[in-house]
Amino acid sequence: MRQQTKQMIEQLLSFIIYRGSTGKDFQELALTLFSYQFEHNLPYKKYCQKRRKTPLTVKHWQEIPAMPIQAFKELPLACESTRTPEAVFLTSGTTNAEKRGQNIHPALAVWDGSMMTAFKQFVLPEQQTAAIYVLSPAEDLNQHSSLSRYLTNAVKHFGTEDSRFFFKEKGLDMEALTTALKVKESRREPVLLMGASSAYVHFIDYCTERDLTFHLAEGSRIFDTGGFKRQSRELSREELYESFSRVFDVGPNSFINMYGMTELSSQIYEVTAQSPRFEKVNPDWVKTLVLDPETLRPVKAGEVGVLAHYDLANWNSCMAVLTEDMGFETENGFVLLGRVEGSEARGCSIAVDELMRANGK
Amino acid sequence: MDLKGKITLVTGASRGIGAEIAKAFGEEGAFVIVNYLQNEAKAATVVDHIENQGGESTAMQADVTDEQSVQDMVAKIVDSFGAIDVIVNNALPSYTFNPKKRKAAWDMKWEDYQKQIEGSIGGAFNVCKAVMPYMKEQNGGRMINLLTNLIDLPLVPYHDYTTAKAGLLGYSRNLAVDLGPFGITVNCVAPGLTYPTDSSLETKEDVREEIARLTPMGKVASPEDITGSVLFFASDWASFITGQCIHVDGGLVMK
Amino acid sequence: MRNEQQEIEAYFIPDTIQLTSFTTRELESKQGKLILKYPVLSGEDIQCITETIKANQKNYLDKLQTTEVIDLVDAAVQKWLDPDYHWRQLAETWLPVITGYDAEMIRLELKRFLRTFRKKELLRFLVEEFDDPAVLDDFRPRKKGGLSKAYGPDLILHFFSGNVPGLPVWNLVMGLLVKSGQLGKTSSSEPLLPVLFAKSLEEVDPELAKTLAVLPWKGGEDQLEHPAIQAAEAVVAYGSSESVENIRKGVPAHKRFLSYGHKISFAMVGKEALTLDLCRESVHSLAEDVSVYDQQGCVSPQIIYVEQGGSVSPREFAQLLANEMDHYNRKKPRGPLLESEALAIQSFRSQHEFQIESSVYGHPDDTSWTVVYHPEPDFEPSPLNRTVHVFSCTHLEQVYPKLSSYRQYLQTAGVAVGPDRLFKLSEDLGKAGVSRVCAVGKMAQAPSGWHHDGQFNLLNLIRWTDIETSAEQHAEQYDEDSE
Repeated sequence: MRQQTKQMIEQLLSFIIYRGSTGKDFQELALTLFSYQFEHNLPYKKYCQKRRKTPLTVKHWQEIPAMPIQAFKELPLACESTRTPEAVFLTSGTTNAEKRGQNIHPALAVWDGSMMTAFKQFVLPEQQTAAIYVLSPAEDLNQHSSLSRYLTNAVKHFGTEDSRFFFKEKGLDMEALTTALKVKESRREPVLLMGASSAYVHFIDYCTERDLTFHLAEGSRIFDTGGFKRQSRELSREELYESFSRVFDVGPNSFINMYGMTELSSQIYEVTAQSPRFEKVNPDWVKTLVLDPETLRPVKAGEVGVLAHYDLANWNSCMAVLTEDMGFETENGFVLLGRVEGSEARGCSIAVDELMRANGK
Repeated sequence: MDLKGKITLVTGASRGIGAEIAKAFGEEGAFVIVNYLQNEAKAATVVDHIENQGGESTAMQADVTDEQSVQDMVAKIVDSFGAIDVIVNNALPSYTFNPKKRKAAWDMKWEDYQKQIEGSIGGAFNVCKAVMPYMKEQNGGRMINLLTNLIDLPLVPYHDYTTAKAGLLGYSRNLAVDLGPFGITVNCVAPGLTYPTDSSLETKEDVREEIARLTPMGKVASPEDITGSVLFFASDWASFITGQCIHVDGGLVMK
Repeated sequence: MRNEQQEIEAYFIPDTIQLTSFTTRELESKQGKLILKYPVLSGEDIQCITETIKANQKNYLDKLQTTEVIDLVDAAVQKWLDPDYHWRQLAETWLPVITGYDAEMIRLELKRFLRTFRKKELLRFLVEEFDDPAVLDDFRPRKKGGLSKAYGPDLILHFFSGNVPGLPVWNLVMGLLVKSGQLGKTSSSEPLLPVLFAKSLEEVDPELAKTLAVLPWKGGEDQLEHPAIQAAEAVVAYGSSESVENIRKGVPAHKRFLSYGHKISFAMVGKEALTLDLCRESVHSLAEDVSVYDQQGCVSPQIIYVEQGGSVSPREFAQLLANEMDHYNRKKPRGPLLESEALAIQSFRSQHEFQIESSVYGHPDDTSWTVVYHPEPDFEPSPLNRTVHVFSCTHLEQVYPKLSSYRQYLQTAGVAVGPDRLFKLSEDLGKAGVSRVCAVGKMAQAPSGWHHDGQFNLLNLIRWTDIETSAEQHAEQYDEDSE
């Protein structure tokens, strides 16, 4: 690892963990990181040059070109090339089994630092530890999942001794989870449930079929992440929160939704006890821009556009990532509206999808 | 005039008209690359001046008559800035403008012409050729070549110098035809006698007075007088102008 | 028409029928407000309308001579060729608002299109498909004996396309030429022009107009489509493979079903056209072919193959095309896009930027035009809305294998090649599935008598009745006056 990289990591860690004490603000660090990535990440450099954005021309972090998430599928995006990265996280690749996006992490120190600092801030602001029950696979079952790393970290650093993973090789052990929750319920001990939204959907179906409900103790929290892809039946967030209340008997201030992407190295949170419903809030080292899909320039405050995230923790690939999610800015964060919907072509000229289907691609 | 962020190369910009042009671009918000041949210190002064005014600039050495040297410089510019929007071909081979010591037609050698053609047209050619692929790739660009009004009114016939500059005018017009479809414009600025510059130091008071007397506006040009027309050709105001030549000589030549 | 409010029906039915329930859609522009009045239809309405049309077809249209029909259509088209004609002005004012297409582009293209329906073109159109167009009026002798007559369907049900304004007029004219009653379902993206054209026919001949109905409804509404299909003798459908297939499912096997699915077109430029003096014309023409109707027509190219070896390289061709695309866009700006369409172009651009060997040229500030250059030939559609591929190839023949998987989708090939290559090239393109070879610059202007998607137009609609020689001869026996 080059000396410059080590220094970069040092700076980032101190900003993320001991922010304020370094005296460096987001802007300054973003520009430093941009220069670093421009210098060492060649495909990104080409992408920036094409947009006439170089360390010499970019004066503000908002001008840093955001790399489309597509690029994480097509190209190796790395500043520090190593044969033995600490982790390579892959996207779940529900839409195209062959091409999965990847984010290479030569070292996970910054990723972990980001995860834990934000976890403390958003999930456990008033306590050091919690009893964590996890519904999704741990790191040992899925090494290429950033979510698994996240969940394992949470239990390792913030879980009490009775924290457990309920996802085994054969899937989510719903019976064991039910029993464990009943025990917590009878002891009136709060529990932090964590897992992918889709995992909850399965469990809620399971409970509904069996007329199972729980009365979780005061202080229990339901943490979910991700949207609803094809594996489970579609539920809107509102419906999901309602079913959480119904099945777990927890109040409206008990929900935490984490928005994470393989292409990023930080997470963004919706904490119903802290912010208005559906408002997602960034940690200090992440900023989100809402861009006009036509020009890729920021929209007026409050207008709907496509989201671009600027994540300082994403030092090895690209700090600035252009998503395919639509949303709008709010006072303290943004509201996510979900993936942009494809529309049938207006014309009689054949559209890409139709032709690709025809060709069996 | 919005030249903000335009990547601009001015050749021979360490002094004289070139330096003034570089400063003027800097003031308008362009990124100015100050090209020089030898005078690193003077080039640095121009860069400092631009930066002190809040502009952005960098100096790059290259001999415009050396094809490879020019190509390397242009590649470096595009690598650093991602583009090249404007080039101003101002560099000229060293020449002494002394009306009293100039060579008469019968004393001229073919080598004298060759040297000027090599320097004036050859230098501009190298720069234009080097930026062409980039400008074509970015669907546009501006090329501005510096000439002289002596082409039209040889008050003092500097045979070799003026002949080469006249050649450069022909080169520019032909270039404009082939590059127009790619969105690239090629234009020329033909100054009258400009004082003070290093080149015109030996053009003495009497000649300057005589030219001023003939000039409708009653004076010879100063370096700052030249910059406006160059900026104009680089600006959006001139987006549909190509193959033209503006005389900046106080009305001495009218055509 | 300044700052006025105007109301117009977005439907046309025989004037003997009254509809009772309506909704409206309001459109606003600098010229004022237009209220489009939409009928709320029931299955019974459809039944009533189709029965009326069929009766009127039988009692009137069927009895007209083809030449009379042509004169009537010509008279209606002549009205449209007058710039001051009130319906034309209405169309020129409001079609840009309805479709999003540039007003000047619509004005020009509509005029060009309607010109292809004048009397002389209609006559040519008939001769194109019938040796003796009088077969549409009467039994006519055949060369090898016997006589034949052609019958058009008593009712044609059209599912109109909505992407290119005016195209439904072509369908209506075709139906009239075979003397069919017609019911057309308009597309929500262009519900106006077929209605206006029907109104013009009404102005010319009110009786003729009673054999026509133009109605808007949401595609797939079974309670309307079922009775409409039941009543029709032939169904003509435009749309994506999926929507055409859905319609086909509802059409009984014994009924005639013609479909025009989505297609893809491309262009080929040979090295002989890539001289410095000639190439600019091709570039200019192709920019227009790509840009017209924002590439929504199936005749607009999505791909251009450019041969190496000319004075202008394929890469330079792409660069020149980019500039011409920009010029066209300044004259006739592309219409506004949906977010998803704009993002599709952004993603298309970046996808190709990531391929190191490709070059992407595009409007620097927005998605209004895009040219992607590739150094090796391939076949890849574009996300439309003025985005086009330029593929370099060592020789044009290199392209054929790339086309093979797409046979059923290929339509127009715009070509710029020398006379010595034209036949061979067309032969090969024909084999590959291409149905139309035309000059670059003419891709968007198919002549009225073309073999649309490689098929006959009128011949596919009609059915024949033959009087065989035997019947003819046999009949002679019963001639009382026979010697």
